[in-house]
Amino acid sequence: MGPPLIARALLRLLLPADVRDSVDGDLVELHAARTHSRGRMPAALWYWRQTLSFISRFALDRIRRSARAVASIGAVGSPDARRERAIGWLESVRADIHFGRRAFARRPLSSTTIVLVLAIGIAGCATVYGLLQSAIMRPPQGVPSDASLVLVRRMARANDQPVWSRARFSYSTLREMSTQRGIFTAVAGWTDSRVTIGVAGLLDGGTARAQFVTDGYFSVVGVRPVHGSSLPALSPNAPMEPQLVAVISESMWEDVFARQDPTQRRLMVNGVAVRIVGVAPPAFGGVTPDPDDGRLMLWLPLSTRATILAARPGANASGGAALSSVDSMLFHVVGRIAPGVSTERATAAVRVISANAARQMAPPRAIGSSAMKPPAVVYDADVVSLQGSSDALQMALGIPPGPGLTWLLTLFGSLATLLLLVVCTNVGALAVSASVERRAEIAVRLSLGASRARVVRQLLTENVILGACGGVLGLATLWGVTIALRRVPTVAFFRPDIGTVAFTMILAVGTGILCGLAPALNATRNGVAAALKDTSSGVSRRSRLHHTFVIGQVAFTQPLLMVVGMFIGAAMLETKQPLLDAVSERVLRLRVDMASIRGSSMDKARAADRLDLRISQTPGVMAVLAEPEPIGVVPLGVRPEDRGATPDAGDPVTAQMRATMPGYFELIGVPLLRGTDIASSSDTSAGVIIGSDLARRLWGATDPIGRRFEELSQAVSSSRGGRRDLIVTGVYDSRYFDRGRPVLVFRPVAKLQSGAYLIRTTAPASSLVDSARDIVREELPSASITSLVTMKQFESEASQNMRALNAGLTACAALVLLLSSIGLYGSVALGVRQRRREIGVRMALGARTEQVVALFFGNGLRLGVTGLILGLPVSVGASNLLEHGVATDHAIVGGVIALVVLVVAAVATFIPAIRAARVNPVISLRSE
Amino acid sequence: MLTLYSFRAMTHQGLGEFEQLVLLAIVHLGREAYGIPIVDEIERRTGRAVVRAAVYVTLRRLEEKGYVSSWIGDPTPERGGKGRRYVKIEAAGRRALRESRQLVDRMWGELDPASLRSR
Repeated sequence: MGPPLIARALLRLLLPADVRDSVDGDLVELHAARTHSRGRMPAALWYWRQTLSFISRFALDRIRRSARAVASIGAVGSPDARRERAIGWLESVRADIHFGRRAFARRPLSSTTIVLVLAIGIAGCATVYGLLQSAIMRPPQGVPSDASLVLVRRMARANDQPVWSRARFSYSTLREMSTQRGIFTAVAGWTDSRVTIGVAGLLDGGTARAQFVTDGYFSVVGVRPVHGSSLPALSPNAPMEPQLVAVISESMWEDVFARQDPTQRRLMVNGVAVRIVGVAPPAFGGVTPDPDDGRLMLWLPLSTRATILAARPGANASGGAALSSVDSMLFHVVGRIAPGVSTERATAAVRVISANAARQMAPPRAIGSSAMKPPAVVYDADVVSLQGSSDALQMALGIPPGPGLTWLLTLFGSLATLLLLVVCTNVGALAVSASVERRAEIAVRLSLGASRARVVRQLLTENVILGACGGVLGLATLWGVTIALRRVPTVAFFRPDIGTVAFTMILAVGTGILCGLAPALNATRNGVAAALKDTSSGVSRRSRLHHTFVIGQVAFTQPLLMVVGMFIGAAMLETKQPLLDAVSERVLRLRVDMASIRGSSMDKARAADRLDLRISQTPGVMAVLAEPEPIGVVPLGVRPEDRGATPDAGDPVTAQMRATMPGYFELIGVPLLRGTDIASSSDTSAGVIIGSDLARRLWGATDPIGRRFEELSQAVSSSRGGRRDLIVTGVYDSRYFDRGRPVLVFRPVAKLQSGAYLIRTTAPASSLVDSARDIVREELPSASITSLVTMKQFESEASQNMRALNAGLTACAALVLLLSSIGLYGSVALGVRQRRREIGVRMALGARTEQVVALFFGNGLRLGVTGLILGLPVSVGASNLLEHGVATDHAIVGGVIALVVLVVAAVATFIPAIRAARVNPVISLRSE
Repeated sequence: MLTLYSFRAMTHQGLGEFEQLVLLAIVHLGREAYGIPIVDEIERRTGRAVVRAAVYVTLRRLEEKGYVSSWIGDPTPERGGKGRRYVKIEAAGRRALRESRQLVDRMWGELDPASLRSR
C-alpha cells in the first residue's frame, strides 16, 4: 500500500529537483514502516503532514535564497551587511505573520467579523457599482467597445401629452441618413419580427426573434461571426433575387444545433427554406438586446423580409411596399459617426432629417367618432453613443426615454456610495475596537525596547492579512453574485469592472488598515506609561472616536434603508388583488404590434375593425373590447364648489388617464361600485371613472358622482382651445387595480383602438388561443402578435416578477441592517470596554447593575438619535428624489425606518452594557 | 525572535547549532548516513523531536557550502524505485566542526559547568 497519491504528486511537483527523489524515497520507506506499525490511516495522515512540512520548508528556503540574491545586487554596504539586512527583514516579516496568526487565534470572533464585513461590503458595493457601470458604460453584449458606434433614436408623442415613447424610422429616412457622409461614415438599420422556425430532425416548430438588417449591418456594428461568415452584401446585378441566408445567434447554435456545424443545414423560417451562413458571437443579441425575448435569434438580409413575412400562413402576398412608404416606420438605426463629429452635431443633423420626414407623412385622420380624433404627433430624434446610452438599463427597467433615467442612476449611484461609507465606518469601528484591546500589550512591547516603527509594522502586517482575507473572500462572493446574476435575464448585462472592484477594495481594506493602526500610533505618541496605566486622557479621545463611529453608522444607514424601504413599501402597495379565477381564466389578452401593419393609419383602423368583428363572431367569444390605453398624465384639481369635507379635498391629483370602452369593467368581472361607464362627452365636459380610494380621499362617504375636476395644466387646456371639465360618472373598485402613483382615472370613449384586445370567452380562454392567432394571421398578415395569453397567466407572471423584486429588495435591506448592526455593536462594545475601569469604580462605590446599564443604554440611544437627525437631510433628499416613481408615504416609511434603526442601536447598546455591568469590580479594577 | 537570531548566526562563517547537530550525526553514522538515520540519530542523542524537513533543507545547504558530499545508492522497490542519498562529511565540514567546538571551548575557558547551577 503506497502513500497518498495526491500528497506524493504534490510533493514531487513542488520540491526542488535535486532533492526530489531522495526525499520521496525516504518518505515512501518511512510510510511503509509506519503503515506496518500504526495502521493505514495514521500513516496516511503522517505522510500528509510531512508533505506539507517539506513543501513549506523548501518554499521558505527558496524565498530566503532569492532575498539573499536580491540583497547582493545593487545594495550599499558590505555584502555581509546587505545580506544581513535582507534576511533580517524577511525573518521579522515572518515573525510578524506568525505573531498575527496567534493574535487572530486569540480573538477569532472579531477577526472573522472584520473579514466577513469586508467581504460582504466589497461584494455588495462592487455589485451595485458594477451594475451601474455595466449599464451605462458598456456597449450591448457582444458588441465591441467603440466610441464612434452610435444609436440613432427616435421618439414620438401626441402633442397634447407629455410622455415620449419610442418610435422608429422609415426606410427612406434611413437611406437619407446614410447619405450624410460628413456626419456618418456608415449607417445600418434593422426591423424586428417574430418568425416561426424549424429545422428538419432537430427542431419542430418554434418561434424566434428575427431581425431583417440592411446591407453592412454586421460591419457597422463591428460584429464578426464566430463561425461561418457574415451576411453577403447585396449583389447589385440581381437586386430582385433575395438571397435566402441567415446568421443565427450563438445560443440558437447551442440550443438547436448543439454546436455542430450549422452552415449546411436548412432552416425553415415561416416555412421558407433559408441557408445558415454564420453564427453570431456569444451573447450578441442585437444592438438593443431584449432579454425577455428568448434565446433564439436570427439575422436575415432585408431583401428577404417580403418573402418571409408573406409566407406566413394566410398572408396576402405583397411586395416591399413597407419599405417605400414614409408612413411605415419600421427601422431602428445604428451608425458610425465620422471622426471629429460630436453626438450633439449628429443629433442636430438627425433632427432635421426626422422633422423633414415627419412633414412628408400623411396627416393623421380621424378614426370613428370625432371624439377620438387622434392628436398630431410630434417627433424628435437624437444620437447617443452605444457605450453610454444606458439603453440596456433603460430597457431592463422598462423606463421610457427621458429624465426618468437620470434620477434613477443618481439614486443608485448614491446608494452604492452610502453602502461603501457604511462598510468603511463598520470596518473602521471593528478594526479600532479589535486593536484597542491590545494597547497594554503594545505598551509592554514598547517598554521592552521595541521601536515604534517595529510595533506599527506589526499591527500593519496583521491588518493587511485581515484585509487580504476579506478581499479574497469578497472577490469570491462577487464571483458567486456575478454567476447568479447572469441567470437573471433583466440584469444579464452585469459584468464586474476590474477598476471598480479595485477601487472598492482599496477603500474598504485601506480603512481597515488605517483604523487598525490608530491605537498603535496613539500608544506610541502618548508614551508607554500612559498606555500602561490606561489614563483618562486617551480614553476621552477614543470615546470621541467611538461616538463618531456610532453616529456615522446610523446617519449613513438611515437613508439607505429609507430608499430600500420606500421601494419595498411601493412594491407592497402595488400588489393588487387578482381578478376572480372564474373571470381571469376566461379572458384572453391579445396584443398586436400595430406599428408593423402596413399602410396608412386609415388602413390600420380598418384592419383593426375587421379583426374586432372576426373575433367577436368566433364561437365561444362573449365579448371583445380594446384594452384601456394610457392617454397621458394630467394634474387635476377638484372644482372649488364641488370640494368635499375631507382634509385632502383641496389637494391636486396627478392622474394617469386611460381611455376605456364601455363594458370593460363588466368584462373583467369587477363591476363599477357606483355610476356607469357609458361614454359621455361634449365640447365642455367629459365623463371620468375614478377609483374608490380616490373617492374616499376626496369626498369621504359622500357620493362622488357628478362632482367635477378641472385640468390644472396650462399646456393641456391651451392646446384644446379651452378647459374641459371632467365629471365623475363612475367609481371603480381600487382593490383590483394598480395602486401606484399617479392614480388611475378612466375616461370612457365610444371607440378605441389600442392594439390590445381583451376577449371574454364562455369556455376557458386557453382553448381559444389557436383560433385567435389564426384570425390575426388572416386579417393582419404583416402584424406580429406580441402577446397572447389568458388574463390568469398574465397576472401570475406580473405577480412573479413583483415577488422576485420584493425578495431582492428585502435581501438588500437585510444586508444593510446586518452590516450596520455589526458595526453598531462593534463601536458600542468598544466604548463600553474602554470604560470598564470606570464601571468598576462605579460598582465598587455602590452603583447598581440597572444604573450602569441605564447609563450606557441612554448614552447609546442618544448617539443613535443624533445619527438619525444627521442622516435626516439625506433621507429626505432621497425620498423626494423617489417621489416621481414610487408611491409610498415617506412619513410612514421614514418613521418605520427610524424605529428599526433605533431598535438595532438599542439592542447593540444593551448587550455590551449588560456585559459590562456584570463584570466583577474586583477584576476590572485589578489593572490598577 | 529566537529563530531570528539563530538564523543570523548561521549566515556567518561559523556553523549554526542545528547545522552542527546534523554534521555530528553524519560523523557518528559514518558510511550509513542518509536522511532517515540522520533524523533518528539526532532525536536519539538529543531526546528532542526534529522537524524532518528542516534536516533535509540543512543537508542541502551544507552540501552547497561544500561541508558534505552525497551520492545516490541503488534503487530499491520498497522505496518506490528511488535510491538513498548517502552523505559523507568533507574536509571543510570537519574543519568547521572543529572551529565551532574550539570557539565554544574558548568561551567556556576554565568555567565549570557545575558553577552555572541556579542557586
